[in-house]
This record gives sequence, C-alpha cells and structure tokens, in this order.
Amino acid sequence: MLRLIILVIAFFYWPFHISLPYLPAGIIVFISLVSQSLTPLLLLPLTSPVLAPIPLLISIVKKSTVHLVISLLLLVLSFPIGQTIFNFGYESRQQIIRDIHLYPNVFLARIYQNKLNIVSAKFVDNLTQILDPNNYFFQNHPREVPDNPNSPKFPYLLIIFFLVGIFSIVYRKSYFIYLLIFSILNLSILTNPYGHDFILWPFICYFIYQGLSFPLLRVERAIGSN
Amino acid sequence: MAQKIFITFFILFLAFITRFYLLGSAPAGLYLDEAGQGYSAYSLLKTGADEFGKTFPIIFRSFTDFKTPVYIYLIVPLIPVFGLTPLAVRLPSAVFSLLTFPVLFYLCYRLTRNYRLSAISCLLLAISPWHILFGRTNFECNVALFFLLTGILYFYKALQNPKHLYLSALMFAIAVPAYHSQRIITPLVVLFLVFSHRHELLATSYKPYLKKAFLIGLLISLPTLSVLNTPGFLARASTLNIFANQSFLSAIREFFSLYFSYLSPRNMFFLGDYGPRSSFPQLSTFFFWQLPFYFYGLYKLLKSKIVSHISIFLFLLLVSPIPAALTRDPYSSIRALPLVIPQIFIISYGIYFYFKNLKSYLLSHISLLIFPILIIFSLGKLYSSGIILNEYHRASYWDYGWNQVANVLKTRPAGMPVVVDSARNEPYIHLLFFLKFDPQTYVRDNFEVDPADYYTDLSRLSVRKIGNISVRGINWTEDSKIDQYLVGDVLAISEDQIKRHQMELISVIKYPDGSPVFRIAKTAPDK
Repeated sequence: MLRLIILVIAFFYWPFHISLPYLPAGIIVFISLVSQSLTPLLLLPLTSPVLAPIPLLISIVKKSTVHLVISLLLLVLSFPIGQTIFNFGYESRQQIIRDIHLYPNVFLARIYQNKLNIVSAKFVDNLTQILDPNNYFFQNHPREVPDNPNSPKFPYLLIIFFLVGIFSIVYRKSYFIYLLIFSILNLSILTNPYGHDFILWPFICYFIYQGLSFPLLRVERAIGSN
Repeated sequence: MAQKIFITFFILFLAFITRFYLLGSAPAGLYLDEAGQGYSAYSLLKTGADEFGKTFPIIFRSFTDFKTPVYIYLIVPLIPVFGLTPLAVRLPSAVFSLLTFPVLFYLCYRLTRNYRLSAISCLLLAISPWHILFGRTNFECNVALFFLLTGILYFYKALQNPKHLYLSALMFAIAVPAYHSQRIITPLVVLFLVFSHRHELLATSYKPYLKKAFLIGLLISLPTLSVLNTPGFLARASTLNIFANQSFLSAIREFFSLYFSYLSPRNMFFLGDYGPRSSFPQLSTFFFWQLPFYFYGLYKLLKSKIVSHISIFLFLLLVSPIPAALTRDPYSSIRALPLVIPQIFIISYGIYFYFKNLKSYLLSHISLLIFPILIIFSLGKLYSSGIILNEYHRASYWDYGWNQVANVLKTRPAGMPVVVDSARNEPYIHLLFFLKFDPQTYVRDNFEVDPADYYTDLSRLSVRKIGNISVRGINWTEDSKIDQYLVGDVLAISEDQIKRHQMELISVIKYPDGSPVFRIAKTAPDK
C-alpha cells in the first residue's frame, strides 16, 4: 500500500507542476515505452518540434525504413535550428576573442579558445544538467540554473529509490536504453531544455518504481537460486 | 619490469610538473589565509609563539577562524631555507600532494592486486584539476588527505604485520587536526575499518598491538581533545553549519541537496567549485572526457566481485561529502577533497575495463592512440586554465598586489608614517608577511587577547600597528592633515579623493588585466 502511494505521488508530482504545452511530449514517450513501439514517437515533432531528432535516431537504430522516412520529413519541416546550441550569441564570441590575446602563442590559443568551445561548453552544460539528480529532486538546489524556473519535479525523498532503481537499467531492453540515450542527447543540443525534459518523466518514474521493488526482486532471485 | 619503471617515473614526472611548475608565483598574489599561516609559522620560528603571543598553539587564532595547526608547523622548518615567501608557504602542499602518489598506488594495489588499475588511478590523479589546485596553494586539506590515506594503507598492511597498526594510528591521529573536515571523516573511516576487520583485530595475537596503537592515537590526539569544547575549536562549525539559521526539517532537506550535489555530474564535470580560489577558470574538478568512464566504472564496480575488497573506497565515496554537506557552501571542493580518491578510482576502473573489454583490433588501437592525446590535451587545458586564465581573471581573489605595496613602502622616506585602509580586507597580515616584520614588536604593540583566553575570547582589534604603519579605516578629516602615506584600494583612495585633498600619487599597483588595485598617495597637509 505504501509502495502504491509513493508511486502515485511520483507519477503525478511532475505533471502537476509542468506547464501544459510540455505535457503531450512526456505522455507520447510514456506510451511509446509501454507499447515498445516507434509509431507514437512520430507525433513528437508535432507537439515539440525541438524533439524531432528522437524518432529519427530510433528509426535508424531499429532499421525501420517507413519510420525513418516519415521522421526525416518531419525533422526537415519542423526542427528549429535557431533553438539549438549551434546558434550562439555575440557575447560568447567576444569572450573568446578577449581570451585569445592572453596566450603566448597562436597554436595554443586556437586549441583552447575557439567557437567549438562555445558549442561544446553549452552541450556539456545541458547534458550535465539533465544528468544531475538535484535537477529532479531538489529543483537544482544548491546551484539553481539561471533563466530556468527550477520548478519541482519529484519529492526529494524519492531520490533514494531513484538511485537504487537506476541500476535496474542493466535488465532493460535495448529500446528503453536507446530511447533514454537519444532523449538525453536531443535535450542536450537545445538552447534551453527546460520543460522539454519532461520526456524523461516516464524513465525516472520507472527507476523510482524499480528502486522500490529492486531489493525485493534481488531477494526473490536469491531465494529462487537457493 | 622496465616498462613499469618507465610508467612510474612518467606519472611522477607529470605529478611533479603540474604541481611544482611556477609554484609560489602562480597563482600570483597571496591570499590572506596563506599570509596568515606563513606569518604564524614565522613568528613561531622567531619567538616560539604566534603573532598573539601564544606559545605553540593547538589551533591557531589567526582571524578568529582558528586554523588547524599541522600545516603551519610544517611551514616552520622551510622558512630558514626559503625565507618567508609564497614558495615556502605553498611548498608543504606541493610536497604532500606528490607524496600522495606512492600511497595511493600501494593502497590501490593492495586492495585490487592490479598494477594497471593502480597506475591509471595515479595517472588520473597526476592530471586531476581538483588535486592539483590544492597541491599548488596553501590548503590544509591536501596534507590531511595524505595522512588519511597513509593511515588507511598502514591499516591494511597491519592485517599482515600488526606492528603497522602503530603507524596507522599515528597517521590517523595527525589527520584529525590537519583539517576541519577530517574531524568527521577520519573517525568514521577508523570505525569502518575496525568494524569491517574486527575478526582479525580482536584476535588474541593482535590485541597487544591494538591497545598500544590506541594509546598512540590517544596521546597524539590529547592536545586536540583539550580544546574540544572551546569557542575556538567550534568557530568554523558554528559559523558555517546549515542547522544554524533554519528549522530542522529545512536543514535536513538542505543537507540532502548539498550531499547529492557532491555526487552530481553537473558539479563534477562542468561547474566545479563555485569559489574563485577553489577552481580554475573554464575547468571543473574532472575533465569532461572522464564522464562516460565514470558511469561505466560505477556500473562495472557494482557488478564486480571485488566490491568487498575496495569497500573502503566506496565508504569514502559515501562519507567524504558529509562534512562539506553540513556547511552552507554549494560544492565546496576543499571540504570534500577526500572524495577525489574514490571518484578517480571509479573513473580508472571504467577506463581499465573499457580497454580490457575491447574486442575489435581497430577500435582498441584507435583508443590507445586517442587516450594519450586526451592526456596531452588535458595537460594543455590545465596550463590554459590554471596558469594563463587564472592569472588574468582571478588575481583579485588571490589578494594580488600586497607584495608590490610592501616594496613601495620599503622605499619611502625614513620615518614617514603610513595609514593602510582596512575597510574591505585584512591588509595587516599581508604587510606583516611581505615586510617580514619582527613578531616580538608586533605582539608588544598589538595586544589582542591574553594567552589564557586565546581559545575563548573572540574579540578582535580594529586598529593595528606595524611600526609606524597603522592599519585602520582612513579618516579623511584627520589623516589629510598629517604628512604621511595613505594606502588603499580604488574605493578607499579614489581619483576624486586625490584631487580634493591635493595629494601626490606615489604609486598605482595594477592587476595583470591593467585595472588598478591599490593606490599609494602622499598627503599634502600644507596645501
């Protein structure tokens, strides 16, 4: 009963706090995971154009030509390149130019101060934000993200179950893992992944569920093997 | 064998270069804590007492932040050799940082019996931005880490030869007063080690050694225990702890958020420490390329059979963030420095198994080619961030400029009084350091506290005298009427003030970026 209550809280907490426009993407991913089917993902670019790469990447891995063609078409028609890290601002370029003059030689300066650094730094920033458990359980506290509402996603006590449950990933099928990885990578190339990261909600709920069950599962297996 | 010797020397060479290159001059400037520790050591050398007249303190009063004693006593013998210089102050950190390598290697090897894994751990530590920063500057945490690791190593050696328990106890006992966070970490580690090996330790043959080791530890710890209940001992804890100004439940949530931030990839691989002196610009505590190996290493560790053998590393992973998480600062890498060891080990584990599990001939050769390139790139990144960018962007945080001020003051006309503004910093300690002022004279002219109340009275002087240099706030009404030098930052001695009081600008000390940091002006009382 307690486990059920915790699961219900975990399941509805983030949807309760997220803005409505971001809800459909998370629900689509949830349906895709439950059905283990690519088809629902084709709706992702229609609800959130910035997430158009996800169905394309999954289609390539799953070698589904029909899905590949449709998702490629949707990507070309809808993906907003201006909302990605490849569109960087004036100030970041100026900072590079200022810092270049500090180096004793041009070679060293060009290796460590260049436009690729701007893109890679933003990519790493997004990626580590998405991988940060504090993002989901503590509203990014103690290092809140600027230009981000840092809204609540899950009650903080559930982090224990999440960290335990995340190791259950080794027992998951490849579709789950590919969808998770491609979702994380897609979010990492956005200018601001806030809100769109709701597509990770079904994965985190799954890990919390596993964290609640995992110890029991291992006990059952140990008993079974004896 | 020859290959192993080459690898050993290569790693030690890397560690030496990254820690000793421009040691003492990079970072430029000398932070006030560094100057404080250096001058306390100088005073001890000259007079047997610190700058407050207390003979051989157990904890050092300094700015009533009560610094831990071990590092300061380590500086004392270096001053006759290197003089009272930033090099002498930072050298113990660099030396103990280097000495950590054989300890880490032997500890890893003892636990895993795997030479390659141990070598990779040492290689990653040699280029670790986290460990390097604290190995190049006066931070006690680095020295404390050495003693903690040595204590652990000798504990494991004691499982074969119980006489090593004495050295283990000695090292642990020195680790506790070496840095504030070790007051929590070391006892927990000792409890863990004793509990996990209780069957061996409680064997009849071990008991005499255990008793003597306990006595050694207790004897070394007695001075620390004697000041346990004083306001001085608790000074840092009382000002920084998260339970001070909020409800218990809020503090619990705060603790968990701070605790998990030390295990967060965002802090480890991107943001790093928020403090400008505890981080290099554009560099985190770990390199980004280590991120996938970290996750892979965690995954392999939890599936492996050696988890029980390396349980001490996993225990360190869990307890190292605790003291840091009890303080309010987010991701304080100085307070959680012991965490670098288990995290480096996990990354090394990931790298080792990545190469071990590579089946493809092409991929393995490409990886073997890319790995050294990554190491070289990382070294270049260290130089870029730690030397070039750090000097330019963070000079102000390292209290740059006081050496230059002291040099100007040394050349002033004999007998010319000076007022140094102290509104925003503690310049007296820098001047004491760079002028190498006589400690006996300083103690005589600046009575702050009776030695009997050294650990309990937290009051501080507002005005200090260093010969005919007064360190206090500038009083423009009075001070402009006396023929003297005034020294202050650009806020204290603005261009407007200089014009208004018709002062003569003697010198302007500038940061590496060209902006002024201090102005030295001569008053014109006749005008």
